[in-house]
Amino acid sequence: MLKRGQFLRTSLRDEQAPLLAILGGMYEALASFLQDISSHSPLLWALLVMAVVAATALGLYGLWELLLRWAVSAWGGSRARSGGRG
Amino acid sequence: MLFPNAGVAVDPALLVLLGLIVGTLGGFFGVGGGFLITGGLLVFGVPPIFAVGTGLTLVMGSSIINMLKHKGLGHVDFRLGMLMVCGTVPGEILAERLNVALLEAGIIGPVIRYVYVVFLGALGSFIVYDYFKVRRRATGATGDAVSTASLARKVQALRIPPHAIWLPGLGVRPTRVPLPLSGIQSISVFVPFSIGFGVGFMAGLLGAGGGFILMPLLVYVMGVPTVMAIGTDLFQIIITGSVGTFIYALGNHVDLLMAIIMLTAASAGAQVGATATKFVDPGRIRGLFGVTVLSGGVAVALKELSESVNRLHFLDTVASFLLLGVSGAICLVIAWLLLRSTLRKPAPDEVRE
Repeated sequence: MLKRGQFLRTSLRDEQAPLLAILGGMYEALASFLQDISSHSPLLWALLVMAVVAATALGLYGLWELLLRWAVSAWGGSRARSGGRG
Repeated sequence: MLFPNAGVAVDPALLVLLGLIVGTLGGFFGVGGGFLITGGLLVFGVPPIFAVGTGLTLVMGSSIINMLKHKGLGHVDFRLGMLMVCGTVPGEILAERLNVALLEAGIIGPVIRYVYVVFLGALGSFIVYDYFKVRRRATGATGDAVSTASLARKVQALRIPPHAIWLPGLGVRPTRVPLPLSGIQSISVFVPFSIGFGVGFMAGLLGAGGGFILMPLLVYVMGVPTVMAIGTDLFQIIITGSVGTFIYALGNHVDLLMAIIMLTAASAGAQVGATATKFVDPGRIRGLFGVTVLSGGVAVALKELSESVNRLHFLDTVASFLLLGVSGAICLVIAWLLLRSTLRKPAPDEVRE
């Protein structure tokens, strides 16, 4: 079993060390926050889980919609341009 | 990568793969995919209780994305969904009571697995049988034609008393309502309520979202068009998934980080699955759904066998791999059907316009 933070440290390179160290620190802080809140305040934890999942789902849906609309308009524009030339 | 709540290290690439499969199947069939997620997470070494809790959390999140995607395609009948939800909650509460009684009797495990095997086996066999029967009758595209059309007409014509009820703030209202989005002229509200109750009961008993039961019931018993059944089904799963998520999170049996990674991947799969329903023939959707449900039945049967016979413990792993393998293959078929349909012909909706 991996120890906490090992997922980043195993692939640590000298030039990436500062960035990875920051990310590793952020992960450790997040992990300890999640463990603390889930074990000490069950109701708050349950509400947080539902709120985070719902917000992430809505955000991802919006992101994909924007991305697909942009892709469709870009594809349609390039097709119209190539059609105009032909 | 170490996941702090579940306390296990899982390769994030495996979670991304599982999320993609769940998102694609959820968008295409209108199911939460609870049985698939739980099986997959167990194979990855996640403790069983966290596998169920995190699975339900993903079911909730991916159903929100899939339902919104289907809403954009005009595939959600909210009126029908709300009528069913009224029955779902009491059904789940009753099932929870029964689960407690079965737990006290010490027979909950085998009972749930036997019900699963019989249910998934019967449902999957019927859907595959119906697919071939309709296909034989009308060569080529099967569309929304099903072999139980006359049953659906009888169910829609059912007149169940009382024919009017008093509602606070709304006064006396007739109990027959039109559901134009689902192509139903009028139906007794007690029909969707009963279906919601039954699905809630089965979902509560089996610890699933209930999508694999509701979608066929809507299509074959109520006569709802397949794509509309898929979208409306997802609306219902959001409710059952949310209740399950809340209960498991209260018991600290959810790994939020794991769920978010899988949800991000599922959102990509949902784009493929939901969009494919616009292009792929509804009959073919039901046929593929039947195969998925049947493979689920075989997987649960193998699990039961592995627990009953000492020397057959390896069948537990075989079952999980079978389920993941078949689901992965179905996802590839969905992606291929979408690609082929978009390249060959315009969507049926566009042709109608």
